[in-house]
Amino acid sequence: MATTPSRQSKRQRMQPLVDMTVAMIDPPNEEGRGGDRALPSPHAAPRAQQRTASNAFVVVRLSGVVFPDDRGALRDIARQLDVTPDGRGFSSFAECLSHLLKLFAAGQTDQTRPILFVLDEFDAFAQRPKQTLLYNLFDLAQSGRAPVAVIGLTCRMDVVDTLEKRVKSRFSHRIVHLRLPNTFDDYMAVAGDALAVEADRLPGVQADYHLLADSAFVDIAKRFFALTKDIRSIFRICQPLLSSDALASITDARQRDLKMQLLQGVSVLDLCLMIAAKRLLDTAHVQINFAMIFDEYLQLFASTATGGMKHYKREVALKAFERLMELELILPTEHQKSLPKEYRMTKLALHPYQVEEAVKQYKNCPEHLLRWVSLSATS
Amino acid sequence: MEGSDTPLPAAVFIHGKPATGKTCVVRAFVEQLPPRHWAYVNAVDRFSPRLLFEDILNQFAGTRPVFRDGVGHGYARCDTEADFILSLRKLLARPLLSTTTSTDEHRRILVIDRAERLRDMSPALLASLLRLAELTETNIGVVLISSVIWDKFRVRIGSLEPIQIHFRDYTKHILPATGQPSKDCPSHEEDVAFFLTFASAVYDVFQQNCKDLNELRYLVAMIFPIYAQPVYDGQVKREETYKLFRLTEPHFAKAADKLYLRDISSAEWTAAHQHDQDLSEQEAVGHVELPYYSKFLLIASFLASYNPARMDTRYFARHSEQTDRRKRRKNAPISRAKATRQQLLGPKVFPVERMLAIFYSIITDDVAFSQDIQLQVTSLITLRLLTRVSPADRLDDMRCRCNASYEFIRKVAQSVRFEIDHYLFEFS
Repeated sequence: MATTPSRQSKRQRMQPLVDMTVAMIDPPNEEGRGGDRALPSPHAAPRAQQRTASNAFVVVRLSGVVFPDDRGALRDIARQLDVTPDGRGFSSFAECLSHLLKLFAAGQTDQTRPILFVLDEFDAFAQRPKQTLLYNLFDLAQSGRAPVAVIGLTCRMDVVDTLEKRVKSRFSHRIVHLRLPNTFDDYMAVAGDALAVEADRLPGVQADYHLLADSAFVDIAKRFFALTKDIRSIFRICQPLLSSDALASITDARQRDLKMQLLQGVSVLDLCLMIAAKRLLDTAHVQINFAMIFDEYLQLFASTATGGMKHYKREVALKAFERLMELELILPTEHQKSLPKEYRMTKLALHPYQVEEAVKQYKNCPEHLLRWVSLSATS
Repeated sequence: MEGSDTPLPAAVFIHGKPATGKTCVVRAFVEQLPPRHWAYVNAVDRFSPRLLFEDILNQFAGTRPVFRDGVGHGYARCDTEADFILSLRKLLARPLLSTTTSTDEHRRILVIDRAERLRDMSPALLASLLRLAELTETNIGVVLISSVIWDKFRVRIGSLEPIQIHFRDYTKHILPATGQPSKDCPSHEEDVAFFLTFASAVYDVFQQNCKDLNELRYLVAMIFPIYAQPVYDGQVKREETYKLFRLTEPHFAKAADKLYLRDISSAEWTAAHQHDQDLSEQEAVGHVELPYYSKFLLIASFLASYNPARMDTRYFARHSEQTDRRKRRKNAPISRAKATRQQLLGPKVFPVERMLAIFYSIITDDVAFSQDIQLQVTSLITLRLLTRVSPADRLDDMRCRCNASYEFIRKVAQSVRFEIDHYLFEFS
């Protein structure tokens, strides 16, 4: 696992806190804030500790994105603690949780086997109504009724502010910041560590090939570092192929504007409609519909010579318009089902400037389209 | 990516225009894998999280739901994401007995087609699918296929950027090649090059408004018999392409009008050409024949929908036009030229009373207000030519909107000899 020196020190800070819980001195609750989205796995830290003290405590992992409500989380806690609650109905969440813990403790040989709760996407739990799960866990940890510790992982800096007063007061306010690699050397060290492969794994690559020594790769990595310090961004492009040439072409492709790229592949009619839409936006329209766009399209045809090209029928244009909607270059603004579809209001998903650029870049663009775009730029 | 313990990329996002071969390529890839190592679901027919989860689980488990004794068997039950992840973890941890020799025992691939629909299901669903490998702690890779770019997918919580792969649009040179000429070419036509000349000509004609491979293939398949007919009849030789195109040219225009818009089905198209029918005659088929008064009611409601109410006196009052016009000029705001015409904004809602007033002023006969007229309004609503906007149980003060298009109304007006253009305000 890639580990920077700073992360090692953070782990050292976490270790005694967890140890304290295990030793049942003072059960703290801890919120490790992965301010660092590049954490390869948020479970890395507790998992490593579990390995050292495999039987000393139990880890319960909950992810905020998975559970739509706190009840579901409770059921998963029961599953992870390997207890089956009897069919009794519980009036409150707290009762149910303490019952679960009681059942768990009863099943253990020594009665005080501590539980470590790891809450991934902590902010998602904080958005639940009443923050029931957080309140109960924190309350348990603070009152010392049961040996538990809570570690929350999040990338939101302001997560403490989103906690309710009663939850906040029970939080120990121990916050660990994990930062992205600060310097380029750190960045490369982490990247290199993760990208290292045993020589026999990749046939066809020389055994002493060092990607990190490849100046082309370093250049690419520098560009990524300047853009974002998120290490995952470089992993993303490294995973499929490991040669600097291929990487260079991929990075170029990635940094292009996707919407513009999409516009390069549309048909001439689609492009005409986009120009018409753009012209409408230029004349202070905010919402546009197909009828307006088509009317503008006809006006464009009437205003300039088009070199013998005829305009398309309304129905053909409507089909092209629907295709643009499907590509989400044009978005509906409201759901007016009762109106005929050509009158439903839409908005353009692009800036007018982008349309202009796209037309200029379009391959084999008919002469009159270019004139239309420049025409609207002046008017 | 060899070796069973090499982690698969957690998520791959494949995007590109419709008909660029995204699904085709991905399916061809996963189908090489042994069964139960992959699952393919389409988010259009698995439109709810539950259907999606259950189908995925069934495919990974290799079970096929059967219906016996009134109960479904062998069917995964899975409602929530938490359940799904749990079941998937259990399922994937189990070794597959059938493929013991395989090295990539624990690698699974999940393909979700039309992934843009996932966004409508639940906000957290996409986030948890993107980190499925992490949540289930198995080596599973998720492949999302969509025609919408990733920028429109970003979710607020726990979003993980997938690896993006873009499928380029086909250009002209590879279009005929990807169209699998051997497959598309009719079996009785042995000269593939002859077919390809024609196919590329069709591309040239239609690429201005349509670049969709599926559409083009459809058009090629429909027009080709006409194109090749003179050759089979022995009138023209294969080499005389120019002559052939001249003969086919009128059909191209017709195809653009009819076939592309799917106004007529392919069967109708072939039948029409076999009997040398004129297609324009068929236009009347889709036309609705209405009673005389209904036609006027429809015209009246069209006028009520598109004309501003303040102009009613100008158009429909039998006298005092002079004074009215003067008044209008005084009140008319000067900036009106910039505002959008009602024609472009679509039909407005009108009270039925106003429509009836217009009806009585435009109809030349002396019609008594009767139940008949009311019934005809109702039948127009049933025919969806009018839409009732006010709630159905409210009998007073009914409000409607006219759904008919201008072209349709023009035809209706012509049939009753009514000059509708004289009555429309700011119409072109």
